[in-house]
Amino acid sequence: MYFFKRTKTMLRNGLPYKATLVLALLLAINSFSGAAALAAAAQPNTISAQAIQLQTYGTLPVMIFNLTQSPINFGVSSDHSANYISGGYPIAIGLSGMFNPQSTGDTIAFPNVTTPFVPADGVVSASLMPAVIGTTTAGTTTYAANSKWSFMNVFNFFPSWSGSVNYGKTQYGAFGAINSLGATPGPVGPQFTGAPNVTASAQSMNAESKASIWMNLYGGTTTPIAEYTVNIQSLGGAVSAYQPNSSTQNPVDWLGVAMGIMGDIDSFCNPDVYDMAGVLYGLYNSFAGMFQTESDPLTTNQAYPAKYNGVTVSTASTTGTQLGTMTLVDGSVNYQMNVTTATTFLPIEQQNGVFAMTWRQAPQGTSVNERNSADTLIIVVINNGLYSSNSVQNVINKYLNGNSASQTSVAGVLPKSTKEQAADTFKILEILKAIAQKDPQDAKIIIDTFGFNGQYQKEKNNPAAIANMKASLKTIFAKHQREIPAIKAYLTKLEQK
Amino acid sequence: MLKRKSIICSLLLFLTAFGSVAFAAAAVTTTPPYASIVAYNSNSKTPNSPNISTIGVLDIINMTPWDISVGPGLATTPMLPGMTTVQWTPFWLAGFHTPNSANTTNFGGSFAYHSYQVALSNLNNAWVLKNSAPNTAQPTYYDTIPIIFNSNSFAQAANTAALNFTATSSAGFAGAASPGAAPYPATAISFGDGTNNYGWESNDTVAGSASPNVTQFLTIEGLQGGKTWKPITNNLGGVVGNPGVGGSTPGANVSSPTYLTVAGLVYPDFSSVAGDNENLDLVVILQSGGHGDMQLLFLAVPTFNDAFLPTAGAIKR
Repeated sequence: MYFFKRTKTMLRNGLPYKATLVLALLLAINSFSGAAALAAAAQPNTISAQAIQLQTYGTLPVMIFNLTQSPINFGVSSDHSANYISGGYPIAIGLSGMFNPQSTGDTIAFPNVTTPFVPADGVVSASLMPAVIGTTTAGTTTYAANSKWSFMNVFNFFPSWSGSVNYGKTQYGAFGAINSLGATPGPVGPQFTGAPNVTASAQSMNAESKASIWMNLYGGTTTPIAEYTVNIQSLGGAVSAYQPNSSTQNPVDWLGVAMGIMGDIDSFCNPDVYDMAGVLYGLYNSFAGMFQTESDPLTTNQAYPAKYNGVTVSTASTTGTQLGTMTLVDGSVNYQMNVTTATTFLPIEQQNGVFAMTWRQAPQGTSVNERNSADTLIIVVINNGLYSSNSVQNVINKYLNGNSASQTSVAGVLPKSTKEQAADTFKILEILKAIAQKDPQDAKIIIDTFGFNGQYQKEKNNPAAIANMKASLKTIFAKHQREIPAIKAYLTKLEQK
Repeated sequence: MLKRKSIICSLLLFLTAFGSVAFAAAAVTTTPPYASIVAYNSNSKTPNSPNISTIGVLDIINMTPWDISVGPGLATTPMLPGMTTVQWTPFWLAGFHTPNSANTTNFGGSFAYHSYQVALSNLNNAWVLKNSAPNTAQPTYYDTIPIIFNSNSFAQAANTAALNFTATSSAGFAGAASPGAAPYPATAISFGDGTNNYGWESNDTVAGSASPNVTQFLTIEGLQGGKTWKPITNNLGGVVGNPGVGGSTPGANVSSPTYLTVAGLVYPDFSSVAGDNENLDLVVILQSGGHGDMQLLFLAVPTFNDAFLPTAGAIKR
């Protein structure tokens, strides 16, 4: 798309943008580093409620990202679809187009932003293509370079139109002349004589409502294999309490997860990296801006008077013979991290986490330049296998291969992945998937250790714990090295002191 | 050296921006299309309390790939004085593709979307804006802010479009719809395509004789681009049970008015003007849904999937 091409051109031609790229990546890594420090002090979960805070009146800007290995179709729905349908008012407008609820309450699946003219079927074209796709013929997992923007979407959501107001006896007719607009409003007053009385409408938010963003995960056919739903409650609908401040981590931790994966994608795609740099830089700045300008958690603020009840990630069902559910593992008043759980070992592609974060700012009392006005909803779907592979890659290249050609961050704390190191993430993902096919229990051990809320995430700065994790990983790798030749290179690294 | 260049560039931008205001005003040679909403209304039935919506804040949100300049370009010029609680001066909102946040006049400067929130005041009274409208029986005030799309310098050019954002306020519209009828508090301008212009007035907000009414409108009006701007007539509400008056006048393509609280304009395929060839329409929506929030939304919608226009593409909902 043009604006991305333009970014690319700007970045190619301007040194400041190259500096920007480096800075973005370093900031991303620093973010990841900060997450590590915080994670080390993890406390037991005391989560007692399911909702997070969100003000939904008027409009809700939504950012959504697919950092999984699977295509995702998404759309929105409302339990007050009749209010939209009667007036034809759209429920969402954005880069994919304009969408109205159908009689079922659902919209169609949003077309991909790169191909808004192609219906999303979840196979050839999906609302969100995977950030990482498997290419089994090449034996590695590669980034979907030919559709690099296809894993994201940005749109305005109107989740709260729960009613309409009629103004009867409205006289409606043509003005003979109207010059009252623009720079110089003209006469106003009696304009109509003998015009018929009709009823005019105004949109309103006069009742509780629930709107949803549904996300269907696909596995190669047009039948979804899992569904995740983010519910948005307006005016107190359906939820009695919001999530207290009981998080075990900082939301930056989870954003760091996403940034780490995107950093690997960014490095892996080098030198065709310019577009990704824009996203990385922008994402970091968006998030950093949010945390630098402290979110206002109180709806009793006079400047923020609207009622709310918030957001829930209510369901995540995995279809077929292997059923999964979504479990809240971390959260606060501002964010939730839900992960798929199941009694059996699900295919790695179906082991995903849904991160949902809201951010708001009181409309007064700040002097910072960045002022996101309406509450923002950020949704990131992250594959646990991909995250685990990223963690293993960090362990191998950071702790066990200190002489690698990694670049050093500004703070000199963490290395930035080189292109080769980033490629390791995707090669390790293929190894993990191969292990899962042969011995799901071993794959589970790796994911439990290096995945969401795993030991690595909590103790990545503890050398003794890292040594134990390394030993466990080495044992599993040694067990499978004969059947999975690609393991050997990493086993060699693991055996280095 | 760099500083010197920066100073020169800043001066050029300043001069260009200053010049653009005059250009913007002079560019209007025909009556352009417009769209309005009722932002707030109070009357004697519910004195000092709104019967449509309160106005606590005005959100201005750019979710397009284009930079958007908001204001006359004079950095020290306060905008909508009397409407806001704090001084609000010109700024520009970056398009979501812009990776550079070095320019601090860019509110945002990063990916996703950029927005600005204006804290409003005088919820229960007329905004005393800068200008007083002539030839009105009751006190009427207005203020207008030019908005330039695909520009971060407040300057119009061949690859930009523009509109006016106008706030109008009155305490005590007193016109009567018909002889002998009670005076109506307001004649709300609704929308028009430049040739066919429609409005409404309602005795749901009729005034008592002793209490002045407060009615406040927000309006957007196509400026640069003239009649390329179109009022949104599809999928944005309408008069219940009334087919509208479209077709009664040659050339009319306006079939129904918008909601009283939601209205918009669209610039079809603005990409072709901006030069990006992305087939994106520029959609501008005003809404005052209630509960303290109002929005001025700038959206990019693929022409292929823009049902605001009768000529939307293949994908239908």
